[in-house]
Formats: sequence, C-alpha cells, structure tokens
Amino acid sequence: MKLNLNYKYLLLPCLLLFISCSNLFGHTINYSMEVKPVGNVIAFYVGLGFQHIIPFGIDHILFVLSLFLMDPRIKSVILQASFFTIAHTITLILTSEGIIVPPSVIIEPIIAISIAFVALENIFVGELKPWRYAVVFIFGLIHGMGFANALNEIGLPRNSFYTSLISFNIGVELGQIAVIGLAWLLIGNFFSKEIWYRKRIVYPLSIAIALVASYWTVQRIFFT
Amino acid sequence: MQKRYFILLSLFAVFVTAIIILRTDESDISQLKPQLGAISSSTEWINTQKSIESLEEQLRRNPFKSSELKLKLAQAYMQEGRVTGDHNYYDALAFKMINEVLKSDPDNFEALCCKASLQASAHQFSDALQTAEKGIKINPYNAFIYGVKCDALLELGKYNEAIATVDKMVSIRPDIRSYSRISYLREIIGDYPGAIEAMKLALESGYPGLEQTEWVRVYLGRLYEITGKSQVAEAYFKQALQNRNFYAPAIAGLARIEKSKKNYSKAIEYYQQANEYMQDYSYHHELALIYRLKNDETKSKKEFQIALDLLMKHQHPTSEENGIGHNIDRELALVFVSMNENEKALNSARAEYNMRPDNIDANEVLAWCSYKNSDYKNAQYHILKALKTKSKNGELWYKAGLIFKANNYKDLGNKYCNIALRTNPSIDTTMLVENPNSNNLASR
Repeated sequence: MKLNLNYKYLLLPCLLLFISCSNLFGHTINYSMEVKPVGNVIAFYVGLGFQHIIPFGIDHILFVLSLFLMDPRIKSVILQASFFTIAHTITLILTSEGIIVPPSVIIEPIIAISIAFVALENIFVGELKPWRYAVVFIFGLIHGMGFANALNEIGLPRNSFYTSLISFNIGVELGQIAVIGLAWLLIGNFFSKEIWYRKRIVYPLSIAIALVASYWTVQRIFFT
Repeated sequence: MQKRYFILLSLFAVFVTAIIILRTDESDISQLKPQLGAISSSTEWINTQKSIESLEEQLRRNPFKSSELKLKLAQAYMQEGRVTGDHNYYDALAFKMINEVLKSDPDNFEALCCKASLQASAHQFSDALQTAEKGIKINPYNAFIYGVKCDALLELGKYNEAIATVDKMVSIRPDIRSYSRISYLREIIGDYPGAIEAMKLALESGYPGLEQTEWVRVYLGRLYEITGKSQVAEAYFKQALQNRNFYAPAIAGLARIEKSKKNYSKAIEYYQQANEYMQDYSYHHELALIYRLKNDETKSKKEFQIALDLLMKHQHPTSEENGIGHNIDRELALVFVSMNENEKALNSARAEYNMRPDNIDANEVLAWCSYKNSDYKNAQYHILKALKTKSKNGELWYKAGLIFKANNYKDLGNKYCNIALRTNPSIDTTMLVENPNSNNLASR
C-alpha cells in the first residue's frame, strides 16, 4: 500500500510537467537529409544518437552509470536500460510528432535532478527494488524530452521521419550499451562480488554523481 | 528503508514542482518576435521558433561554445529577418552576435561572411566589399563570400568586376546563388532570354518550398512580368504560393498582375495580405499608389506615411550597441517622388548617388527626381548613365523617353517610350506622367 502512495507522489510532478507542455508543435525539418539516400540518413542519425551519449551526453552517461552501480549484474542493468529505452522512445516520438512540447528550461534541470535522485537512491536503498523500474521508466520519459530537444537542433527529414527517429534511438541505445559495457568491464567484472563493493565503489561514486548532478541542477535553474 | 525512500521521493517531488513553477515564466524568453494571424500556426514558423529558442537556450547553457552558437544564432536571425522583412530588428540582433564573435576572433571566416552579408543587406556596400575581400583573403575557395562581393560590386556600379567575381563564384559552386546572380547580371545588360535561362537553372538547383528557392521562382515570374508575359508570371507567383504559403513576395506579384489588369480592389486585397506576412515599405508604397488611382487620397496618404515610417525606422547609425543601420536614401526618394515631394526626393536621390555614383539604379532615381524638379539637363546626364549597361527595363526606358522629350529630343523620346511599352505593356504610365513644366509639353 505504501508503495502505491509513493508512486502517487512521484507521478504528481510528472503530471504537472506534462500539463506545462503545450501541444500543436511539429519537429524541425532537416531539408538536406530529405535528398539523401536512406542508408546515409540511417548512418547519420545513428551516429547522432550515439554522439548524444558519447561523448556529448555526460549527464546521460552519469544516469546510466548510476543505474549500473546499484546492481551491476548485466541482466538487471539491461532490464533497467530497456525500461529507460521504452520510456524515452515514447516521449521522443510524442515530442518529435509535436504532440507535446516540453520547454527545455524545465526539462534540463529535471534531468539533472533525476540523476541526483538515482545516485542518492543507490546510497539510501541497499538493493534493487521492483519500484526502481517504475522510477527508471518515468525518468526515461523525461530524458526522452531532452533527447528530442537535442534532435530538434538538427531536425528530421519529412520523407523518412520514423526511419531517422528510430535510427537516432538506436544510436542512443548503442551509446548506452557502450557505457554499460565499459562500466561492467572496469567495475562490475572485477569488484561487484567483493564485500566492500558498496562501501568503496557505490557510495563514493554515487556521492560524486549526486554532487555533480546537484551542481548541474543549480546551474540549470539559476545560471542559464 | 521505505521511510527514507519516501523522504527521497517527496524531496524529488518538491524540487520538480519548484523547478516547474520557477522556470515556467522563463520558458519562452526569446528574442523572436511573435508572428500573428494564420502564419503563427504554420509549420515553418513553429520550426523557426523551436530552432532559435533551442539555440538561445544552448547559448545560455554553453558559454564556452559561444562563438559557434552565436554564429548559428546570427544566421538564424538573418534568415528570420529575410522571411519576415523585419531586417531592422533581426539584422541588429545578428550584427551584435557577429561583432562579439569577431571581437574574440577577428579572422573568423564564417563571421566575416555573415558580416559582409549583413552590410550588403543594410546597403552599406563599400563596407560589405571590404569585409568580403578580407574574407576572401582567408578563404579564397568559398563561393558564398564571392557572392557577397559580387553584390557589393554590382551595387557600387563596378559591373565588370562583378562579372569577373560571379565567374569565379560559379566556377567554385554552380548553385542557386551563383545562377541567380548571373541572371541579374544578364538582366541589367538587356539579355532577358539569358536572364530567364539562368534563373531557371537557379530554380532547378533549389529545393522547392525553401525561402531562397521561392524567392528565385518569384523573381523568375518578375522577369516574365517585365517582359510582358504576365500570364506566365502569374503562374510562377501562384506556384511559389503553393510551395510556400504566406509568401509575401509571391502575393505582391499577384497584386501587381491585378493592378496591371486595373483590378484595383483585388490588388489592394493582395497587398494587404502581403503586409500581414511581411513588413515591407514597398507594399505600402504600392497600396498608396493604387488608392490614388482610385481617387482615395485619405487612404493613399495614410499608406505613404506608413511606408515612410517603415523606412525611417531602418535608418539609424550603425554601432555595436544599436546594431546595423540601413541606407535607405534611394527608397526614400522613390516614396517622396510618388508623394510629389520633389525637393525631398531630390535630396534623398543625391545622397544615394553620392554613395554610389556609378550604380545604374542610383542614377535612374536621381535622373527621375531631377526631371520632376524640372532639371532636365541633369536628368538627361543621369539617365544616360543609368542606361550605360544597355538594360532594357521598360520603366527605365519610359522614363528615359520622357526625359529626352523634355530636352527637346522628341523623336528619340517617343522611340524610347514606344520600345518601353512594347517590352512591358504593363508599365504603369500613370505614375510616370510627363512633367507639366517639360519643354515637350510646352512645344505641343
């Protein structure tokens, strides 16, 4: 019962967020891509999506890393990443289709605070709980709006709208998988089974991530 | 543990709510002016709004990438200025951004391209030429900068150098920009078929619907219009309007066609529609002339005043703080002469001429203003200079005919007027009436 109550509290700000978004808008058109062959369009948007994680998406990297730290088993990380992917795909499509238009001045600080939240969750919650998937899903919705804002800068070709959108998503996924793979190779593979894993790895890294994310939150609210 | 989690969730909820409340008012801070009417829901306006707001937001967030972002933003403002016709506002924003970039990096090629282009748009042609030449020294293999140099040379009346520059431009990149400049050069040397051919090539190299492409389509229509093929012209204007809803230059084209058919009410309707979508003094100027044709002096005066106000708004000194000032003497002279304020017109025409004494348009307007002030000798001197490129523009030839007649070259004058009307039967001769003081009239 308590769990349901918690969800309600989490859903309230998300509901407010959606209310603050207006409808009507469409995506920016990328005219130069409209005359390119499909193969080039796919390659371009996959590359763009990947770059949005590595090297330019340091905030998304920290978010994925926070998901990884709680339970570094590949299975659970992949499951969380899948929830995140499904969620951000939904909002990426809704935003690109112009059904919702989230203002970036609101979305960007919330993305930063969501990273801090997940990092703090790693500290305060000892093990992976089922509600984590719900939290990741909701944060995925918010991050998807951030991806859409980034994609809007480049625009989408009208004649291959979904091809480019899916390609961008694949690029984002590849970027996330690369981060997870690298984290597993460097951390999970060696230390996850150690008794001191939480104390020496999860706590310091999560604190560092939470501090960076808090700094971004303040910066994005008051200095942008 | 669930209690701690609940606290964490509550804190998160409080923070998110605070962010939404704090930032909602700031979410629409933008230098973009809102669009009104039907255009406000057009896809392109929405796209522009999103792109510019996204760039403005990034600039606030990434001060370390500011040069790159400022340039992108400046280019977006320039394009918006072109689309809305509000050069006064958007060019000033762009100019400020570009100056900031050039302050930290004086040899930034892209910034120099933008600056030269802005200076040309503000009719500061000598400055534009200087900036373009500086850019060419940095990158001699860029077609765009040769295009701006060509424009500046043309406006300064250095036609041979302009031809050499456009040759260089087209050898680097034969595209919509270079073909359209070739077309203009052919037009002013009187080669209308060649001008049409080049403009068609320009049209083929553009993407339908883009502002630049539709501008070319409208200009192609204009070429047909001034050579007496108004039906073809009308088809091009309609096509442009189909590809790009709310495109004011195309609507103005249709207005001219209606005016030439003496469908004044329809022409007024079109011009009013064009005014809704783009701020351009010339639409109000045209409206004033049509109202005068309809003997509605009150509305005519009102439209003349709006045209003057729009022009005056553009004229302020250039500075980093103020942005870019536009030289508008030729345009002012044209409005004043239509208002029969001939002395003011002459002063403005002289100011324009002093700035670019070799340009054919500056000479044409000074010739006409001199004629209207009964200074026929000077009028003849300048109209001959205006005819030096052998342009076959009907309006120019008709004015030349009237000036020759006023100087007692009656046969020559009649010949010019007749050829002008054969080239372009839609010339509005009611606007180009003979001066009541002219010798020709007295000799009748």
